[in-house]
Amino acid sequence: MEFDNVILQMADNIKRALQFIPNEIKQRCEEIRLRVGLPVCLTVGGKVSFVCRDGAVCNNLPSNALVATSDDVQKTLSQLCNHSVYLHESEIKQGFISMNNGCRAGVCGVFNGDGMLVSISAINIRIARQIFDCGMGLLPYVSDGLLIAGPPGSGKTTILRDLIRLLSNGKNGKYYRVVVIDSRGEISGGGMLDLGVNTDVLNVADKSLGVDIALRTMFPNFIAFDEIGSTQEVSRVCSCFNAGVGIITTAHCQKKEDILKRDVTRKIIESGAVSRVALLSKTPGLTPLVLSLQELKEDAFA
Amino acid sequence: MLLLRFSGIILIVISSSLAGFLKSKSLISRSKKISFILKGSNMLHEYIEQEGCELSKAIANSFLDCDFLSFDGKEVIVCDKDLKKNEIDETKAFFSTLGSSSKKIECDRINNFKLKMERFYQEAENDVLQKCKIYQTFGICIGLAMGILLI
Repeated sequence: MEFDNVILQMADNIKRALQFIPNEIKQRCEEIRLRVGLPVCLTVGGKVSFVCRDGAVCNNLPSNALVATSDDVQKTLSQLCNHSVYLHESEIKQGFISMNNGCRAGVCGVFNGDGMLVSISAINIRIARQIFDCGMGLLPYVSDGLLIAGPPGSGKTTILRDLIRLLSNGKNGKYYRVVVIDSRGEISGGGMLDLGVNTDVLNVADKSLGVDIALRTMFPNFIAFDEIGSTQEVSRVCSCFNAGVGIITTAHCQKKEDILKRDVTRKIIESGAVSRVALLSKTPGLTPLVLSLQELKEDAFA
Repeated sequence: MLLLRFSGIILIVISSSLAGFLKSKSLISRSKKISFILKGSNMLHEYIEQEGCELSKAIANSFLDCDFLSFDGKEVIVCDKDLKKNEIDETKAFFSTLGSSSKKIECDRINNFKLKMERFYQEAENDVLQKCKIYQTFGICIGLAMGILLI
């Protein structure tokens, strides 16, 4: 179970309590949050829960809540980095650590002038899950490029990973060559997650460089990458697109009206890299709303 | 009876000389082991500076010669009788804090450790020069003296 694999990399005090959490909660748990001097929190089904020292989970703050100490958080950071924090320096500067199993840990604390973490105050571990065939409904829309938009925790990466797997495994009538630009190791999970039989993974920090390499060397049918964050990144990536290659990507977006309002999503759509947007709701598992550029413009006009 | 007495005396002379030689060998071995740790620290510094590999692998590759050190992923165990207690403690403390900081801090930490080890190495080398011959001669002399007394 992903949850059990994740807690293996946590400080002993925390691990001891978390291992007794009921299996039903372990399966649904999306995040584990450790904050120095504060109770350990879980996000289960989008709601915050607290962990007791005996491993019980409560929706309200219990008197015997499991509290993370500074030592626990520091040890967890060290273990998440496999006792090699120096190897994750560039990631930590961006506020996260990629774990081997595709999970991602966000870090919070005091950063010095060089952008290096001086003292850590919180860690948020997001548990990556593989949900097979969850992207089946979006397969008919991927051929001309698809942007998967949704709020944080809506399952954008999970659907992206499944679409990659489905295309690569020939579930859309043909075995497509897919290149994944996995800048944070979150899509491929360092090779631990199934991305299909016909997928190549490029682990490069710069997405535009990744797209460029993929186009020049791998001759892909589709290029997939996660979370375009800034307009500069969109500009650099869009300049690399050429006809004939489908782009599948994700972006943060709260609601339909935001798609054309937000610079990042608008720029991706206007570049012609994608022809449709799949908008995910806050509740994972609901059918995404698929919108074409025309429909988006009509909505904006209305 | 005389033969038994004679062999007893020879045994005392030999064991006393051997004790002197073993003591001096331990001094030489201490200096050699500190030099291995120093060499390993230099390599470890390179590995970390170049972000070559994970710490456990870097330690395993760097300290290949140091068979008296074993790394179990969390801490380093020093199994040795030649090194002094403060040298063992210093080594343990160094390894226990390693891997929890940025590259620059790790490199500074290794440099500090190297400085300390260089000092220990100098001490050990001085001990070898000054005490080795003394222990050996002392062992033989004591053995001979005891032998003469017993005769």
